[in-house]
Amino acid sequence: MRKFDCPSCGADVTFRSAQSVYAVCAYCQSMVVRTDVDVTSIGIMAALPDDMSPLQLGSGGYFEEQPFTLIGRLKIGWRDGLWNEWHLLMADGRRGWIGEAQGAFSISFELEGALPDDVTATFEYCLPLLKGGEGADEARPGFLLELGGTTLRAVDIKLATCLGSEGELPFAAPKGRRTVAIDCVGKEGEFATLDHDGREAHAYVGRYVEWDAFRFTNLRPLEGW
Amino acid sequence: MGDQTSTMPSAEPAPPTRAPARPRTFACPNCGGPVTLRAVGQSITATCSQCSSLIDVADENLNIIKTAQSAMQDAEIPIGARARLGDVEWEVVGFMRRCDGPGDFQWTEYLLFNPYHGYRFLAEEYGHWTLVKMLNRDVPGAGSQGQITAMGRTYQFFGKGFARTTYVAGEFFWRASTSDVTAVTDYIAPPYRLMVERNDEEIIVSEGEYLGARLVADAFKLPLRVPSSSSAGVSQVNPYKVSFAVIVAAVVAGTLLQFVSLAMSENNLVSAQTYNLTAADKGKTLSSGPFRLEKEGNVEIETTSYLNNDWLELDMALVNMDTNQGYPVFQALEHYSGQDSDGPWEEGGYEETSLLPPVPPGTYQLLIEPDAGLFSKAPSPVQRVAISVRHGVPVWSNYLIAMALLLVVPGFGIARRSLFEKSRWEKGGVAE
Repeated sequence: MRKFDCPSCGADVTFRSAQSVYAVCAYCQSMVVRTDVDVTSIGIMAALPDDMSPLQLGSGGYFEEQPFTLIGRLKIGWRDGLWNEWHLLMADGRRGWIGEAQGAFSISFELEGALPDDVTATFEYCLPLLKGGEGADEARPGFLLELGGTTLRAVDIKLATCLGSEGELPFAAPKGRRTVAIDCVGKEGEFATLDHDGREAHAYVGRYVEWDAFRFTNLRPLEGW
Repeated sequence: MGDQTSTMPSAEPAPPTRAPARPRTFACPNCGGPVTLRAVGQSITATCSQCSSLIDVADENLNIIKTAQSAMQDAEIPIGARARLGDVEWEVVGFMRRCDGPGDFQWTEYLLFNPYHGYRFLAEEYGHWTLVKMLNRDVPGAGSQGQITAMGRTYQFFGKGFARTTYVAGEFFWRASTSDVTAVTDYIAPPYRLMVERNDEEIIVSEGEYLGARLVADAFKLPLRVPSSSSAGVSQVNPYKVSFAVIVAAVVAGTLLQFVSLAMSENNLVSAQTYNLTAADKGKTLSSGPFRLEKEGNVEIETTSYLNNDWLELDMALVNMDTNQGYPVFQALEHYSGQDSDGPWEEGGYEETSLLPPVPPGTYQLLIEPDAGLFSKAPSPVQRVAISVRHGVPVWSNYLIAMALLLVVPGFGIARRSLFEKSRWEKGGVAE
């Protein structure tokens, strides 16, 4: 864990994970980038739209008997909805994501190494959605792909826009960052999400987990619940 | 990485906690009335409870999608009502009315929200309720017509068609609109139901579980109507059970009882006599020798006579010689045979058996007044008639009647069961 002074307001900006490069100052919403020892402000992140999510930065939980902490969040919007991507740090140093959409929770970790052929083909098929122009309306869910030894079905293809972020993140996620996001599910609740911002492609694999199984702690109080 | 050990999540300082999340209230951009948003951050559309305008709440500027839908409609369960269903407390945040393509079949879907457990749908169709959860998993074959397996259950194809939304109220996590049409395919494994909704962007597979109207009414503390007994719910478990276990138990018990009574019956041959009837016996009364019945029991009288194109009537009485109490028995035998254009024919038989109800112990005699065709024949032949008397014979008739009655019960059950299934499947099928 490293602490720096926010270049904008002087408050503490903490980097819990050695790999975190970006953080949003909790006090002034400045987005700061960590170069080796210094931090520089790269702009102000708009306040995140409020929601009824019981999760917050600092919430803890368990996955596969290992504790984790939520250290960052992206708020994502698409034409017909919103969801949260919580960035988490596991006790063994691995970092992953909890997708929170309509009260369903998925956990996933970035696939390391070269992207499988099926993923590359999927991006080729779906990228026009991001870039517009010809074929932009062609991408339809329903096809199958092999990922990490599992057959998954693409069930959801969306053009996503970052509405804001908070906490620590492994990449800069300025407001307005657009990605094409493809959600895939397997027969036993396996989950994968593929995203491409036009320059970089990422694949995250994991599974859906029921609320109770995460054994969350340090939740945000919810009025009336 | 020197900071590896200090990344134990529990050792980390928590960032500043945020203020509690709360429902949000805003003024309706159409009429200015207060609109409460319960699932803040997830709801995309909301309707004003005053003017029924459909408002886009994803947009900071609160665009009106549609001012005042047709007349405002009330649902059986009001928005804001809470109930515990499936161990989770749910709040009704919206409802919509939907119908099939032709509009013949209508139903209501309530959107239930819990900030920890997400959303459920509570669907009501003519008093039948189903609690529906969206499945986050692939169901191979979903949408096809046949059996599919999901969640460890085998579902039967039930129906395929379209669902049109005709009215929305409250808030929704998608851009709900009264012009929504989705293709739906239904499968059933009562009480479970699998629904596949498909549009260009998404494939949504949901699993529903049938809930009794009374359970829902109790959970919401509302007087909800119950379905008419003649209409079956799509995924309602057929209530007309054919309880073969009970029938089998009754048959086994009855059979055991029968065998016990068989084992206990004495089945004694107390008298066996053969009479050689001739015309001389006309108008006479024959009598068997006296026999003793030691205890109470029924009496069976069996007559055998090999008649050849003749008839025989025996007017008998079993008489208790101690009390002169008589028990009448009448037997008639006939046997004819011959040959005609259709070939040989035969009618009648050589035996007749009569069973008397139990008689008290005592010394008895069988008195017989015969009448026979041979009495009028000349020269008169001799006709042998053997009459035997048994005491304490096993009885099968009661047992057989009981068994027949027992089979009527499952027969009735099967009929009711199939009527129920007929009512259920009338709602299924493929609609184009």
